[in-house]
Amino acid sequence: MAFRSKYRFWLLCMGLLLSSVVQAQFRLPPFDVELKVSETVIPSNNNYQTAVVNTDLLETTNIYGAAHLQFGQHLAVGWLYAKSFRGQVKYSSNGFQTAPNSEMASLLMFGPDLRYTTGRAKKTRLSVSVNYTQVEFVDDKGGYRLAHKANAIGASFGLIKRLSNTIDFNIIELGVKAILGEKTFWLNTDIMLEAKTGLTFNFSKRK
Amino acid sequence: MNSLKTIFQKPLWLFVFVLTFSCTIIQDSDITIEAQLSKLKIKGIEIKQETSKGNNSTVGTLLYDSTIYFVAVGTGAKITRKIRFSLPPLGNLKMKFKSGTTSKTELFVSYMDDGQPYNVRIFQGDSAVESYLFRYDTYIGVRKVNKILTTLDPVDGLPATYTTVDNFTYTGSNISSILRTPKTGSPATISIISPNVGAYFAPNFTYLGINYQYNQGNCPYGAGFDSCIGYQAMVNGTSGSSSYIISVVQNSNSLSQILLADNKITGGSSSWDYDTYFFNPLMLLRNQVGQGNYLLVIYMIDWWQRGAAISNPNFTRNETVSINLNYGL
Repeated sequence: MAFRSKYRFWLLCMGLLLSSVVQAQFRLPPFDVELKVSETVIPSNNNYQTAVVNTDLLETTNIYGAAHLQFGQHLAVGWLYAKSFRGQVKYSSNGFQTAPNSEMASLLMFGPDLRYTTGRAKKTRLSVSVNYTQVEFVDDKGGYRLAHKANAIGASFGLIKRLSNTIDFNIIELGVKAILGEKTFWLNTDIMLEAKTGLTFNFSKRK
Repeated sequence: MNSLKTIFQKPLWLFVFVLTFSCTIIQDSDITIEAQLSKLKIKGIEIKQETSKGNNSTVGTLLYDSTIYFVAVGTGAKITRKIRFSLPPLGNLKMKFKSGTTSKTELFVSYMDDGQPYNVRIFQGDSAVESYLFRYDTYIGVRKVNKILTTLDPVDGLPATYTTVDNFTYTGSNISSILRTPKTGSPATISIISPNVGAYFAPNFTYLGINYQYNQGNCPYGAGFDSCIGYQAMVNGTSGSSSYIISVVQNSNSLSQILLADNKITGGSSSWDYDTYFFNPLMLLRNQVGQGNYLLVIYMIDWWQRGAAISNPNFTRNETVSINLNYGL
């Protein structure tokens, strides 16, 4: 019986050790979630003689979300997702505003990104991120829709203000994306401009 | 866990979830390559007028677009398609019907087997108040217009019936003159003075004492010939003139918008009073008739009417009429 009690004691110790090791191995690493509003502009470089569609600009406002795993206090790798909730198409090539009011633009993009931020100790810090996304944009003309899907590679620069140990305010983040592959016939462009603002929620022990 | 299940069992939440986090916004019916534009058909015609006397917007809708087949008696043309639109009253601003009708109308267009229009008729009730018949030569390949017959036959109480037959003469591929023969009165010639001014596909021409001169300077700065054509109309022996433009927006080969602007403030202001524009089927069929862009310019002899000269004009804005063609699948 005494042997059994002794055995139980060691078994308990081993169990505690094992569980702490397991916990250490499988503990969720530090991560953050971004929730932002972004404004996207896709300008078109139309040429009067060659353009098949006189679209000058596609502009959308989006809900932007991202989640990142943090590696140290500088580097983070994650996934971003943005979807428009409003948008419009502008024409002005011929000197007149011609797009019907009902014409709506929409946009979707998602993909991985890599973020670098300066040290967290400071109240305000900078961030730089690069991303590779799939981008879809649509010009809804009411009776029909023009659509395009492409991959894009982009970079953005942001200014972050720490509000608390867990919440950061992304004052502004400006980005540019290069749209890869063949241009769509209805929007003569290969760049996309972005501006974002919002909050980042950190789920990790902070300095 | 159960509560989560309950939430996602509700279709509304599921719909919102899918809508918010969908992996694509592109639908199967979306047009992603240019060749797919050929599937589009005109579904509506919007006529927007912005004038110093007020604004007006009317929308005509497609009633049907049918495939038919018959051989026209006399011409032997194979008629394969017929479309019908409802057109609301245009009001009494800048754009009017030449027949004078101010009621709602219906527009019928029949097409030949090569896609070119054959007859265009505008009905008020059961009366054809305007009729435009396009006739073509037998040139193998793209048929050229060689005759346009116009009949204005307003319903009771309006001016008498007006009928003209326009016979085209070509020099090579260029229209060199059009002889207009009215039902009553003497024939008159639309003389093309310069067929392609300044290397552009725009003519200088004269008809019944009015000189119509191409003037790209009337267009907004930077607008190319593809999107804007400027004109200046002058009556021989007088100092007055009218400046106006035809502005065009295309979606590939499909006409998206024709905008007619009576320049009063900018882009070569006019010394004449506010002009009137009459609805002409070439405004809709510019891309469907052979040399339709050229004919739309020449037929300003019908769709443009000068305003009376005034001594102290008080122009506050350029006046525009835009005809937007709404397409759908």
